[in-house]
Amino acid sequence: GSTRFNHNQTCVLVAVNGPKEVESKKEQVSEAVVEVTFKPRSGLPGPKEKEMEAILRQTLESVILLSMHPRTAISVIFQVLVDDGSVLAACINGAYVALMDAGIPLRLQVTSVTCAISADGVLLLDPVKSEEALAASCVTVGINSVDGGVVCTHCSGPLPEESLFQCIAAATEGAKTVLAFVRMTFEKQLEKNALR
Amino acid sequence: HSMTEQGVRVCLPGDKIGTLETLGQGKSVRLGAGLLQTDDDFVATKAGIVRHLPQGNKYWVENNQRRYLPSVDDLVLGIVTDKHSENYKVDIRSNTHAVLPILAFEGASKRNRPYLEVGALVYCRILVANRDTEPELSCESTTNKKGWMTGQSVFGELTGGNLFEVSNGYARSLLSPDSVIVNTLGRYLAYELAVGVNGRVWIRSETVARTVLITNAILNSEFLLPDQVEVMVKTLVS
Repeated sequence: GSTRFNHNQTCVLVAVNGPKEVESKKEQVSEAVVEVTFKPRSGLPGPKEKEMEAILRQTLESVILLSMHPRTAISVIFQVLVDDGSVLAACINGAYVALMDAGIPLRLQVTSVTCAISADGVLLLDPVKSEEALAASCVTVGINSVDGGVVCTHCSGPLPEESLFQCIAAATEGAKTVLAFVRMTFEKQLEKNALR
Repeated sequence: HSMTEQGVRVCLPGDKIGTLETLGQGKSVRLGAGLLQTDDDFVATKAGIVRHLPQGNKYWVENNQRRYLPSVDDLVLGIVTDKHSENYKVDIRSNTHAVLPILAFEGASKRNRPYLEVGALVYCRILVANRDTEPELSCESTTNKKGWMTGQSVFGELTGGNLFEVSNGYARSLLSPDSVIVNTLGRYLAYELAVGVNGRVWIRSETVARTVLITNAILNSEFLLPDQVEVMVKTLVS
């Protein structure tokens, strides 16, 4: 399965392959292994990309029903085409849609939004790169819209505890909008297939 | 879940499809692909269209993924990739290969059994499929007891003809008795057809030209409406 997900100008390509064979030293007896590769828009992958891979892998490990496919690997490849802020959120949303396209069984509905907090405490949802650069801190939250639970949080920069909870509340609302968009896209596509 | 304008019920993973009470109404509920039971709720694990069969009260999520997931009693077309003393290794387009015991043919014994070569095409059914082991296949039928030697058994090796691949969803629609393309072609031409729900289709007819024509007709009509199929077949046949 594959998806191209845009947040305004930011564009991320996500490709999912699996469940497929995995080399025996990596394989898990009772569940699938999630392999994540993150490729930046330009340049060679470095420590920042490794960090993204770790965050995305941990998020996807809680989203996918791993126990349905033991002794296999599910590989997810992210390629950033345009980086204009909110990249992590675009990746998580893209991964969710690509996994559904591939038919991998999922436990949750995770959609994600980035919040930028300025020095005077103003929240900005879905910031672009220039806004992220000016912000004091940035928080990306992935929300499970089924029960409003938080699937993942990633913060960069210092922020008081109160701001974090404000971000989560704002992101919960934003995530619902993203999910509605994803649902609408799938309905259109499935409707076309069902008519045949 | 939500209803689209055409009344088609679309669900995303995590959507609650119903509870034991609403779907069961006193009877037992059978869950097919893409649905999971958590306590009393039935939750979808895949994105697709929720389908319901009143006989047996069966619910499942229909989606068109490219990879084939083996499930018991599916009829598939497999290709032999290896021979061992006790069984053949068969590729069925899923993530692991499947196993076909050498004696799993109708009326076969140690002295009297078919010898399949690597690369042979076999029409068989899935006997065992669970998440932890390789799927097991069988060419024995539960209804038709004609032996493999007679050449009239339901399952077994398919020789000659042409094999090609389609998406799983299209393969399933070809199996329906109302399939427009299969019936329309049948009105003009005589041919043999075997469809595996793992996305493989096999055609055999009298001449190579006719086989190629039928192959192209089936490949082209995946996204056509019934009227367009009629027009296309008439053009190809004339």
